[in-house]
Amino acid sequence: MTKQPPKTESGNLSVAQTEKFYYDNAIVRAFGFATIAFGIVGMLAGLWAAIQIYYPQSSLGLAPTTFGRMRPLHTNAIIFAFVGNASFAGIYYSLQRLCKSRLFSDRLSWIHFWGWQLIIAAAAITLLMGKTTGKEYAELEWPIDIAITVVWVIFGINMFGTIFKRREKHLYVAIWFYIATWVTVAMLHIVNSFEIPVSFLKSYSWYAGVQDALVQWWYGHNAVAFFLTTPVLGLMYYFLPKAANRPVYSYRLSIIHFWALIFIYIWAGPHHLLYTALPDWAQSLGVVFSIMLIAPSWGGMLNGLFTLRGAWDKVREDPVLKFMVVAITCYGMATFEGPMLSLKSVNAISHFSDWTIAHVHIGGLGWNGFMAFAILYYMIPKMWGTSLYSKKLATNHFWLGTIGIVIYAVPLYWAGFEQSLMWKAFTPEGQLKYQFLETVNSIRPFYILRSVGGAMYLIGAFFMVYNLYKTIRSGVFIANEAAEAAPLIKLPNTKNEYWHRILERKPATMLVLSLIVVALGGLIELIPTFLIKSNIPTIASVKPYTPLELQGRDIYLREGCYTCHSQMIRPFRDEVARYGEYSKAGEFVYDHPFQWGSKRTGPDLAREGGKYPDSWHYNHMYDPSSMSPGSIMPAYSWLLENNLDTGSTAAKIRAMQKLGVPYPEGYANISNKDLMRQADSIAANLKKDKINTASGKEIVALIAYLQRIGRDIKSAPEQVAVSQSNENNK
Amino acid sequence: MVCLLTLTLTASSFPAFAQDKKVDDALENPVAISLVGIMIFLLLVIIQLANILLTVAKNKLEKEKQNRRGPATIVTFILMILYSVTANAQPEPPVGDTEFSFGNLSATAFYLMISVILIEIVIAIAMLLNIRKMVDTEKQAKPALLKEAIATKKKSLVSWWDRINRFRPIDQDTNIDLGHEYDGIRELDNRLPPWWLYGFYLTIFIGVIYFWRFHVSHSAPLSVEEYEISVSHANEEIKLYLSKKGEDINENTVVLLSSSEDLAAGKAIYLKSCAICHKENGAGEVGPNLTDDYWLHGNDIKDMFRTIRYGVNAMPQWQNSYSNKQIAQVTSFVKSLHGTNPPNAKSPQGKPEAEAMPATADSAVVQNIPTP
Repeated sequence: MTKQPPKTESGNLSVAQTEKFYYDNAIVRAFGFATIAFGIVGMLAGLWAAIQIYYPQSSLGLAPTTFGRMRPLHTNAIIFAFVGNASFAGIYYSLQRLCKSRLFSDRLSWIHFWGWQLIIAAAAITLLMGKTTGKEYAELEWPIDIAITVVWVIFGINMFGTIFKRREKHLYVAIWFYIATWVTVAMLHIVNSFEIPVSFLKSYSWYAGVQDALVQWWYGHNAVAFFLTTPVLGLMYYFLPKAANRPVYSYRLSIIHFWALIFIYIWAGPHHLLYTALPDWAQSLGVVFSIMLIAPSWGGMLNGLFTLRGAWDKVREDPVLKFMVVAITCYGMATFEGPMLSLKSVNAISHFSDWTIAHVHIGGLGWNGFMAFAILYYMIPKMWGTSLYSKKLATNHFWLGTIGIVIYAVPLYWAGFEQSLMWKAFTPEGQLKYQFLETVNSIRPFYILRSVGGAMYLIGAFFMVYNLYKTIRSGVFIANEAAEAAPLIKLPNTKNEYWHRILERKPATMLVLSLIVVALGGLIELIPTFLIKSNIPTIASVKPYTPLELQGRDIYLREGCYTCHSQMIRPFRDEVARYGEYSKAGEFVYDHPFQWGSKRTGPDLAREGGKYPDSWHYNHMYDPSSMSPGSIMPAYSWLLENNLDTGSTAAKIRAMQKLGVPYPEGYANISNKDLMRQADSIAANLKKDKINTASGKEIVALIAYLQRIGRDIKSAPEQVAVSQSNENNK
Repeated sequence: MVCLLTLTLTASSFPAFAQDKKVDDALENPVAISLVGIMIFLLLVIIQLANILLTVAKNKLEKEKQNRRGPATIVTFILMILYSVTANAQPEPPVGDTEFSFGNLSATAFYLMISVILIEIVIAIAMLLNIRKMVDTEKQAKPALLKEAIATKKKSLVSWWDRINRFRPIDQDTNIDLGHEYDGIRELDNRLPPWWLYGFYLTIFIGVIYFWRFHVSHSAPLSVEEYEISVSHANEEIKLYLSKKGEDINENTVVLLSSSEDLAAGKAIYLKSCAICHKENGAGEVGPNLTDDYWLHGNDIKDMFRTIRYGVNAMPQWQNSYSNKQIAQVTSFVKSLHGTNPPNAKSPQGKPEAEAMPATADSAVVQNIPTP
C-alpha cells in the first residue's frame, strides 16, 4: 500500500541520468564485530561486578579486579564500547543509504574505527590500573579525553562530509538525531573534561564541589540522553520502518518530539542531585524539566510503535522486530520512570538505592542492548547477501534476554525499595531501627537473583554470536554494495514549502540550531552557579586538605570508593541521625573532583572523620568483616603493603594552587615535610593500638583522608590548617 | 491513566507545607500513592478482563442454549459474573492511622494495601485461567462462533484504541503519504495523538506550577525546611510516646541496673555493637580496655552513659541506635566487667579510676546532635 505515492516531490525523479556508486560495508562490519566483542566483555565485567556485591572474595583479592575498578570498566565498556560501536555501525550503515552516497572518506572511517578501539583498549587498561578522574562515566584520564575529542571530530567530519555530498535533497529524521548527537556529545565531553594535568595519567577536575557536581551530572545525565538515546532513536527511525516495511507513522510527531527532546533533556541533569547541597533553584529546574520530558520521550516511542500498525503479524515472525518492540517498550517505561524518580518525594526513597540501578538497566539491557541486537540481526544477513541462520535461535535469544531483564530488574526494584525503607525506619523511641549492615544483609538474596538475570541475558548474547557466525559462514561478504541514484541538481524550490522541509535541506543550519537549542539549558543552569556567590555560601572553618590527606584522597579515587560510598548527607531525619549533620555547599570548595557518589552500597562517608579510631580503619581495610561482621566490602590488603608515592606531592599541590586552592606560596616544596610529620603521628597512633606499620604506606594516607572527611564543620574550633597538620589525629 | 498517575505523583511532591501536623497524612506518602496506583491499575486490568470474560461467556451461553447442553454452563456463567462483581467491588484501602510505621505508612495500612493488591492479582489470574478454559472448550466445540465473539470484542477495543489515538484506517495511508522517500522509507502525515499532546501541555503546566510554588509563592517547603518540619514533628511524637510509656532515663537520672534480665540485655547489645572494638571480654583492642582501673572519660555510671550515648572522639555515638533504657543496660553490663582481668588485655589508657570522677572537658565534644 505504500508503493503508489500520490504526490512526489521533485528533485531526483525528474532527472534521468543516474550515477553508480558503492556503499562501504567493510567499515560497518568492523564496527559490528567490535560491538559484539565489547558487548560480551562489558556484560562479563558487569556480571563479575554483580557477583562481587554478594561474594566479595570473587574479586580474587587483586586490586584491578575489585568492584571499585570493575564497575567503571563495566559502565565504560557498555556505554562507549558496546553502545558506541553499535551506534557507529548503525549510523554508517544507514547514513550512506539515507544520503545515497558512500561515506565521505574511507581513510577517515578507518581512523575513526581504529582510534575508537584504541581509546577503548586504553580505557580498559587505565581503569583497571586505577587511573581515573573519579567522575562517573567520565573516568578516563586527560590524554584519553583528548583522543576522544580528536576521534569525535574525525567522526563529525566524516559524517558531515557524507551529508554534504548526498544525493538526497532532504535529511531524514534519523540524520537529525545523528547531528544532534554529534554536536551535543562534543559540547558535553569538552566542558566536563576540563581538568588540570598533574602527570601523564593524573589530573584534577577544573571545577570543585557543588559546581563540579552540577557539571558532572549535566554531563552524566546527557550522556544518557545523547549517547544512549538520540543516536539509538536515529537508528530506530531507520531500521524499524525498513524491517517492518511500513511508512513512519507521523512526520509531525518526528519534528515536535525531536526538537522538544533535545531542548528539554539538557535541563534535567540536576535531578541527580535532589536534596543535595546544590542550590534549590537548580534542583527545581531539574525536576520541572524532567516532568516535561515525558511527552517528548514518549513521542519517539509512539512514532516507533505506531509505525508497526498493520505490521504486527510480522512481529510474530521476525526476531528483528521482536527485539525492537521490547526495546521501544523498555524505552517508554524507562522514560516514564525517570521523571517519576525526579519527583522529590520519590527520589527521597529511590536515590542512592538499587532502584536507580534497576531503572538504568531497563534502559541499558532493554532499550540499548535489544536495539543493538536488532540492528545486528538486520544488517549482518543483508551485508553477507544471505538470510539469518536460525530464526528459532534468535527467538530463543529474545526470550532469554527478555526474561533475563525481568529477573534482573524486579529483584533490584524490590531491594532498593526495601533497603530504602529500612534506612528510614525509626523506633517509636526515636532510634534508627536498623544498623546499616542489617539493611545490606536483608537484600543480599536480591543481589544473587539479579546476577542470575544478568547471566541469562549474557547467555542469550552468546546465542546471537553463534547464530551470526553461522549466518556469516553461509553467505559471501559484500564489501562494496552497488547502488545508483541521480545526482542532486539545483532546482527552484517549491513554493509554500513547509518550514521544516527547508531546514532539512540545510545541514549546517541544522547543526547550529541544534547547538543553540542544547546549549541554552546548560548555560542557564551553569553560569549562575559559577558566578553568583550566594549559591555556595563559604564556611570559614573549611580548609584545604593537608598533603597527606590529598594523597589519601587520590587513593580513595583510585580504588573507586565512590562507586559504593556517597559523601552527601541529605537533610533527612534518618540521614542526620545515621551519619551526622547534613552536608553544606561550602564544605566542598576544595574538592577537585567532588565525591558525592550516586549509590550507597556501603554507608555514607561525609562525616566519617573521627567516627572510628585509626586502628579501626587499619583493620577494616585489611579485612572489613573483622570490624563489620557480614560486610560485603572487599579487602584492600595491598594498601598495607604499597609505599605511598611522595614524589608526586609537590606537583599535586602546585596543580591545586593553579585551581585556586589557597596553599601558601612555595608550599609545594615543603609539603612532603608536613606529609611525613602527619604520617608519623598516625603511625604512632596505630602503634598505641598494637599495630606496627611504616608511616610511608598508602594505608596511612588513606586513614588521614578518611579521618578528615566532614570534620571541618563538625568540630569548628579545631584547626586543621596546612602547617599544623599533625594536630589532626589525637 | 498515565496522565492521572503523573498528576497524583506530582501532587505528592508537594508535601503539605508548614506548621500543621498534616505532613504524615498517608495520602501524601509516596509509598501509599504508588501502592494505590498499582491497585488502580490492577483494577482496570480486572475490569477489562471481566468485560472480555462476560462477552465470551455470553456468547458461549447463547450457543449452548441453541445446543441445549444443560445447566453446567449456566453455573459457569454465574460464576463468571460473580468474579466480575468481586472485581468491581474492591475495598478501598483505609487511610490514616499511625503508631507502627512502614516507610512512614502504618503497618495496617501497608499490609491491607498489599493484600488488596495480592487479591487483585489472584482474581486477575483466576479470570485469565477461566477465559483460557472457555476459549479452549470453545475451540473444541465450534471455533467459528468463538472467533466471531472475540472479533466483536476486539473490534470495540480496537475502535476505542483508534479513537484515543485518532488513528486513521490503515487502508487510507496513501491519502496522508507525504511523498517523502528515503531509501524506501516513506513518511505519513498522521496527527499527533491527542492524549499525548494534551499530556505534554499538562506537564508544562505542572512544571510552571511546581516552580511557582517553590520559588515564587514559597508555599512548598525547600529541602532544609522540609527537614526541620520532619524533625520537629518526630520530636513531638517521641515526646508523646515516651510520656505515655513513662520512661525518663537520661544521663542525669540513670542508675546502675543489676537485675539479670537487664544485664543479659546489656550483654546482647555489647556483643552486637561493642565487642568488635573492645573485644568480647572487654580486654580492648581498637577501643580501650574496659576491665582495668583506667578510664579516659570517667567511670561513673552517668559519665559512661553519656560517653556511650553521645560518643567521644573515636567512640561512636549510640543515641540513634539504642534507646536510653538500652544504653543504661549496656552501661551496667560494662561496669560488671570491671576487674575480670582477661588475658591479653590492652595496656591502660586514661586516668586511674576515682570515685565519681567529674566529666572531663573532652567528653563534651559532640554538639551538633539534635537531642530529642
